[in-house]
Amino acid sequence: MAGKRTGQLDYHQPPRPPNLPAVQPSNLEPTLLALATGFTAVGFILLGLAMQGRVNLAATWPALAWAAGLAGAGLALRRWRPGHDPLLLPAAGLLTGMGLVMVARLAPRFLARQTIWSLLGLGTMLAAALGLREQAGRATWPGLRLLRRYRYTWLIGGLAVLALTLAFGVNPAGTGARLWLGLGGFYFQPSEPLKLLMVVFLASYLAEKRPLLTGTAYQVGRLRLPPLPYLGPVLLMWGFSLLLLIWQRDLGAAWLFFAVFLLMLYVTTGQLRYVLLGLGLFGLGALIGYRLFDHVRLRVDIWWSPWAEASGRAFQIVQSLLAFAAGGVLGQGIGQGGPTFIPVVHSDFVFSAIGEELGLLGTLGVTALFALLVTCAGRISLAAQTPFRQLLAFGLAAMLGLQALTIMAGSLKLVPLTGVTLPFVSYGGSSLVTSFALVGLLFAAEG
Amino acid sequence: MQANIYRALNLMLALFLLVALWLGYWGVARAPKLLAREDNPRRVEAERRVQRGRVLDRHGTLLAWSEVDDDGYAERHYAGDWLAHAIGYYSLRHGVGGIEAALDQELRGQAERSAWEAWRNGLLHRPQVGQDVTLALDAKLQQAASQALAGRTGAVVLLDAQTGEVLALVSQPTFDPNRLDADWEALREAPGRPLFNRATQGLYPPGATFNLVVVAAALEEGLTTPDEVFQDKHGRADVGGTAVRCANHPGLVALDLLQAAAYGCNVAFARLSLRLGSYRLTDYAKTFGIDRAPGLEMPTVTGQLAGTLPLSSKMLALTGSGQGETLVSPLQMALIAAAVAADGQLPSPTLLLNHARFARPVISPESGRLVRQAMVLAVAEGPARQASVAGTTVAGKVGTAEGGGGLVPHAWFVGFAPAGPSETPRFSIAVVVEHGGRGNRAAAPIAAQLLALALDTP
Repeated sequence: MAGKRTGQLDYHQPPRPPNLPAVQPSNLEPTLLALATGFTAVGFILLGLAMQGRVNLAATWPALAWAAGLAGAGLALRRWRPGHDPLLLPAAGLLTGMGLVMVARLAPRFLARQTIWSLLGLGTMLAAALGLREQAGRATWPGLRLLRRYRYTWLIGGLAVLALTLAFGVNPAGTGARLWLGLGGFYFQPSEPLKLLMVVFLASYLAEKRPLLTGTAYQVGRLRLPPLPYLGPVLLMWGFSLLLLIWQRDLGAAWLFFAVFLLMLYVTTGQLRYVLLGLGLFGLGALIGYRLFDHVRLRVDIWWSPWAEASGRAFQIVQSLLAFAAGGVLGQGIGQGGPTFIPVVHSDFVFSAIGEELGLLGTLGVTALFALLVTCAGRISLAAQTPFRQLLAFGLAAMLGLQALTIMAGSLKLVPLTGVTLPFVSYGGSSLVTSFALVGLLFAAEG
Repeated sequence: MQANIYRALNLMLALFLLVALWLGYWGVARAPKLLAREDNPRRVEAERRVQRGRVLDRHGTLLAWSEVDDDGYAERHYAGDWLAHAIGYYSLRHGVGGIEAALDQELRGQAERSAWEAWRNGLLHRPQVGQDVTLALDAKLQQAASQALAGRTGAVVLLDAQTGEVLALVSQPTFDPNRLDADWEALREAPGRPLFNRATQGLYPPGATFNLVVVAAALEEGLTTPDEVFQDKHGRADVGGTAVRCANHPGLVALDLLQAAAYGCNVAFARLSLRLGSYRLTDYAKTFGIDRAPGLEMPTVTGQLAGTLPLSSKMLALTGSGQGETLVSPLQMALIAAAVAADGQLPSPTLLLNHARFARPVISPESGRLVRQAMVLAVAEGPARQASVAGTTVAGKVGTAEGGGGLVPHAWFVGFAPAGPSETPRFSIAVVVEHGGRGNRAAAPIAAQLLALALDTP
């Protein structure tokens, strides 16, 4: 990428009196990071006050570790990626810090693990952000082209790991969908990084075939279709999603994969009918799933009419709504509500727990942070120089945004509940590392 | 492509907005309805943290209190099983009863709290602390009454005759409100129905204690005078084709009105009842409050009167001797005794100390005095002798009421003390022992014991 980047972010400075302290672009990110770590530390102190009745400084070590990690990551980005988006890391860092507080509140025995995973996530983010620079190390280093050039290798590798999960998958909780690979007490969910690999593959594939996809090749009746080889991915993704749904019973992942694909296809071609065709196919698949699989039917049934079975099958979702109601506007305060009435609150229902303890202000804050992340990613996409970067950044924005929307709307009974995590916030190592890798890829896509 | 990206991003931002609106819907708009749901575990959780106020007796003795453990959960404690029916119970599983229910607002601390205070306390997670409540009850008398009746089935109601304040309210068999959750099923199944409050809700035929109403009515209506002499040689008479017997005939051939009333001579009462007729007799029973549920702070029962009027002569004679269709509760009889004691003023009963007092004139003071003389006579030399207390004058009336079915009759005693000519009666009492046999043997001694103890109290 030579020459002046016209799409580079422009922080227009209005003239202001010189003696007023101003948040300059150069210190915007450090300021926001300090606020995010401050919020986390205050959260831990409040939690100690609520649970033990005293300020327990020793128990705030995850906040300190997280502050150190964020500071290190911020410095590294500043050194090796000057001009990166200054809002992405503070927003992700604040969400993760809030997640640490909620894990400490809801499942303290997982706190150490979650802290380690968070730091690993930062490392992954830095590795992606710095390792995929064109100039990293040697002049011959391919940088982001590494992803483009070996897209089939990445995809097949990801699918192979997924196939391994189909064969040898376990569930750490003992029962439920077997979506994890276990090694030495640590569990890893291959469908999480596969989300990113799929976005990378699709961005690369669609960027390359874009002229062909938009051209009309032949007509079937009144429907104009692109050449069949290029219609292939639509059907392939559909089949892949169905496979996930049927074989892995992973409703959430199936929906996310397919929805992100449709959005990327729409952005590439601008053809709404492909999206409609895709949605029709998805509806068909969902209908088949509803007819064939108990777990799909259960999710849909309790979404449609939970009140009759409030103490039975719909217990979880009803308790989730009660948590939002109990929180009200201001919330009960960290450690002072009853979100543990919701089963598995620390992974699937952390949003409801925030609703009860931090109230509407907290949940609106989380919603706004995700909207901000999506906006930042969208801005990177709009400013990107090549179709691949554009599509990559957009696909990552769509993946992050849709995943957050899916679980937030699910815990609000707006859509049927699917077992996806709230990125950065929910307990879960694979999810954290993947979410941070996503941020790293966004930095890489900035150029 | 730029435009497409814009559109897709705007779609996602619109969806975030939708989530925000839904947050407001469940978190604010629908919150009150959701939180009121029966299956909201937070309600029980909050209830367990309410520190209910204490319940004290008139001398400040602790009757019920809440203890808070380290986790902030309050547990309700009661002084003993002897006050169960006077105070009620509080249980998360089985609800509240008695005074605990009647004064729930005060005891929970919601009565005098503004919305602002409630909101602030909720925001700061301050435990809800209730107010203390002082009852008119006297713990010593209550405990003594419960012990006096222990092992038998029945009820005792001891009132302040002038104010209507309940000093003791006992129903046996009783239960331990401390162990309600553990014992609930057994208590519900128990044959003696320990959860049933006989003092306020039990209905019994009044037997000869109903004579008080008949004499008072006849005097009020001018149908008899204290000088009237009833000839009753054999202690039996034929009324309306049935034989009426005097249970406690003194062996006199001629009795004056007061003697007849003191001895509960049914021959005399059959005649008085016939003179009154069924309408006037029923009216006086109503005047004495038998047709209404006394306005206590806990549930009471309405007495029962003859259903269809006029009554036959036979039924009228039976009614006059307390054996007709009339049924009364022990509380009602204690109130009738109090009305006689207080010169014809029927007080309104209350469990609270310093409660607003109401009294309703039911008979003239003159009639009241005459009935009182008859009752003093009954204790002094009549069948209620077992109710006498050394050093004081007790007025009383015993009753032996056939419960039907060939079972042992119910034993009654109603009365008051002190009842000397120049004294103001302080206490009125009703004792009933279910299937206890004769009133003078089973009920009168209990009354004597309690009146002695009450009079001993300054």
